[in-house]
Amino acid sequence: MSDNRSFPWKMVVGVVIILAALGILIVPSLQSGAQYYVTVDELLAEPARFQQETVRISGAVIGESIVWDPETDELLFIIASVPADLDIVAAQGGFQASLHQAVTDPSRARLTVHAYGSPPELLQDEVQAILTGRLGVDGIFQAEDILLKCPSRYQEEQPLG
Amino acid sequence: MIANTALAGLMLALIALLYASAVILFKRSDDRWVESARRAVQSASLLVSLALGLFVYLLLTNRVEFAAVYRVTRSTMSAVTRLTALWGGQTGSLLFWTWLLGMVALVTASVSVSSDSRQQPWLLFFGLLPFAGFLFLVLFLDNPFSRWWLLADGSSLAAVFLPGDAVTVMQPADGIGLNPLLRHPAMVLHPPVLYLGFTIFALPFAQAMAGLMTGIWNRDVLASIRRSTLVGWFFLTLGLILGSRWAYDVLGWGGYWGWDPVEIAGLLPWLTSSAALHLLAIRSRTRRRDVLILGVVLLTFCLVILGSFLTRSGILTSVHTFADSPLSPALLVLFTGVSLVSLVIWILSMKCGEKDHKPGSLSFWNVILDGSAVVLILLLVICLVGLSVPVVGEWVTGRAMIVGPAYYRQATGPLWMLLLVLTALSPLFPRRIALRYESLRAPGIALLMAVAVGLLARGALALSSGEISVVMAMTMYLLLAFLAVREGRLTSPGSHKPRVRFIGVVLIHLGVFFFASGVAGMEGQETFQATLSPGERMTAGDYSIRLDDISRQPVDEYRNVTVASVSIYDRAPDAIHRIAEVYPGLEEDLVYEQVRALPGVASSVSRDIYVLFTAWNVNGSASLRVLVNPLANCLWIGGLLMAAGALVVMIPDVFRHRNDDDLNTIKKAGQTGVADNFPGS
Repeated sequence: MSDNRSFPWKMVVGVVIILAALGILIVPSLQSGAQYYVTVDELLAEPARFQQETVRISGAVIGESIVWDPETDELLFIIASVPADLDIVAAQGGFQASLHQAVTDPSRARLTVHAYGSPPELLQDEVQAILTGRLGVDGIFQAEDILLKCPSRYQEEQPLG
Repeated sequence: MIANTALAGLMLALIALLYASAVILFKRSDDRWVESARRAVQSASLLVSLALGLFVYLLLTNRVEFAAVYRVTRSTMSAVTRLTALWGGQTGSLLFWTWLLGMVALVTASVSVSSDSRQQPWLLFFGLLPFAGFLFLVLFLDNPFSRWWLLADGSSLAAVFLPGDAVTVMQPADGIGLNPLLRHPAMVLHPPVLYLGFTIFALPFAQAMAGLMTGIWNRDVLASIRRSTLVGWFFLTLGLILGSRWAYDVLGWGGYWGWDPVEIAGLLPWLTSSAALHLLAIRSRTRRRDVLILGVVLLTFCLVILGSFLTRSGILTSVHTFADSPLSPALLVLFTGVSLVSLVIWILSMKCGEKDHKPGSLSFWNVILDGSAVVLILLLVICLVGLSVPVVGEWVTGRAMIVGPAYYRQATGPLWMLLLVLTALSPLFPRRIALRYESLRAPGIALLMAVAVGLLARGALALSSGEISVVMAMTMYLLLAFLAVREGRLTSPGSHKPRVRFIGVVLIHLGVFFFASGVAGMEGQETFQATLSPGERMTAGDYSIRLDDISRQPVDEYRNVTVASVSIYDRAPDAIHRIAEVYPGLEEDLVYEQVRALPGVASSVSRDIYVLFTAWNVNGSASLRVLVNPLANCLWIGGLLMAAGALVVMIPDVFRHRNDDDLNTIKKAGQTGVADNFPGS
């Protein structure tokens, strides 16, 4: 017969075990898997720091800078700084406009990116690139992973009048 | 005319739903008022169906003066492609989603899920609530019947009604068509199947809320919730598999799951619905446990709304998320509202109710099923932590943060393995065997034999440790299945009829093993790259790849495609045995100014040879990337087996005879519901 007044030891032990298991799984995984997500400006402001740790960075691809050597399988391109704040992006006219401004404004901070592998098909002018990697001592960002933002399904294209 | 008709229909539908809500809250004790509310919900569902039909008509007739049509259609598209464009843009997909919720509401209004009259009003109420919420979004925040208006300064504006300084309705020359990445057979089915999976969970949500509000449920009500949850699980599983297949074929990286935040948002309700199905498989022991299970069912639908918010708001970085959307604040409010209401009612239900009877002794069956549910919930927690790091991390550290796939793989890996072990032991254990030493004999023998098979497989085949684990687990499962058949546990008591449901469950879990095999195999993916001129070869593992020819041809006025003919040979010394010929291509879309790779894949059960044509160089050579993907097709076989198994489980329900005596529940002493404290009861 269950005694409703007794302390629910089984439940407490079970909860403690579960919390401990979660802690063991989550904490080390976060330490290795979590990264700071910075803009080009923020990266260039603290170069020494971001040579020590893997970071994720976002920028607008400058299409004419894309160079790929099929012999060495090395890819180089330049990204321009885009704001991270969505309010600023909205004030600039949306994502498409913000990327365009980043690429065409020569005063925006720029960063050279180096990676191995042939250019992904989406790597084009004014596409948002989200890169994972480290800043090299030579100031070139060594990208381990390249994610290219899917062209929006929700096109804001305006028809011509 | 069309737009005005549809807009009027949508507005009337919303008014009808508001009317029905008010009736249920204040007049639910009067059957005539409840009948009136029921008809209002049915009418609303039909009106939204009319609006959807009219929108589809606009798509089929290329009416590009409507902004939502302009953004996804083009005059060169076929009728079938136009139909699929319904879910090719945010606006159309939101209308489609709302229509699906309307169909769920129609079911709650038309089908008697419970013959207890006190449950019916609450079923109706919680069935219409999400429908009304999304209908509000469609009408006021993302209306599919917005038109392009030409303004006096020559610019254009999309709006439902005539803007003050508009000159006239604008007629663009043509639409911009579907995004090239969406032109794939899996994309024809993936969104509607996935949406079906998500929205069907509104039905068990409504059933669970009706039960908690009235405090009335019995075995048949829980079985009904299990059935509706299974239907949602079936479509969700199929939808996730189709999405993985799309990623594999289209995104050009030869992978199937990137731990992308939007992918994870779709996985969350799958985890909780799987947990709910495991918990609902066991006959109820205590009332408190029932309330816990119903809480998991409520959580599933709350996660569906959360997923919709995460996908459409742009709050997370993903290949899938869309531009910042006006829907974000409204979806957040909707998610918060649904979650808070669910949480409050669930907490109140934990306090209501009769004293629990003695729960009975623990059996292996309970341990395995409850254990599986706990592991699935732990996986959910890990995923939620990962999704919330960008928000919480920035708040704590002042810097934007993100978690990549490495976090999810490392944190969830051990739990997936544990789930596999539990799956190997289920579902064939004798149900009433208690947790004693004697009952360990059969699984003990099965385990020893599985280890022997694993060692043999390791010696004979070059399998990875992950693949060995899956082979061992599947062997143990099949041995236990054989034992169950031999001991007659697969037939109904007193008859020789096979338990069809059991066969379905076996299929589902076999599918899990196949899928796990695919996951393990893909860990051994190899990548090879080379630049070849026609006639030249490259080596890719055990294969020799030869570029035969390159040709370029137009597809239509908006698209060109460059195709490479590639032959794949066994890498025998002379390499003359051709295994396959594939045609990877590069498709150039002149409107989207986008180039996408069309992979050429040579498939077999043991491996895929995945060839990508990445560049056509000025000297006439082609750059190829070749991926050898071991056991890739086990992913799709496993997924389809899981879905097929779910269908088989549903078969007996089609022929069941409902025991209405059970449903004429007499309220037991002390058995109360949350609604007993509400006015109007």
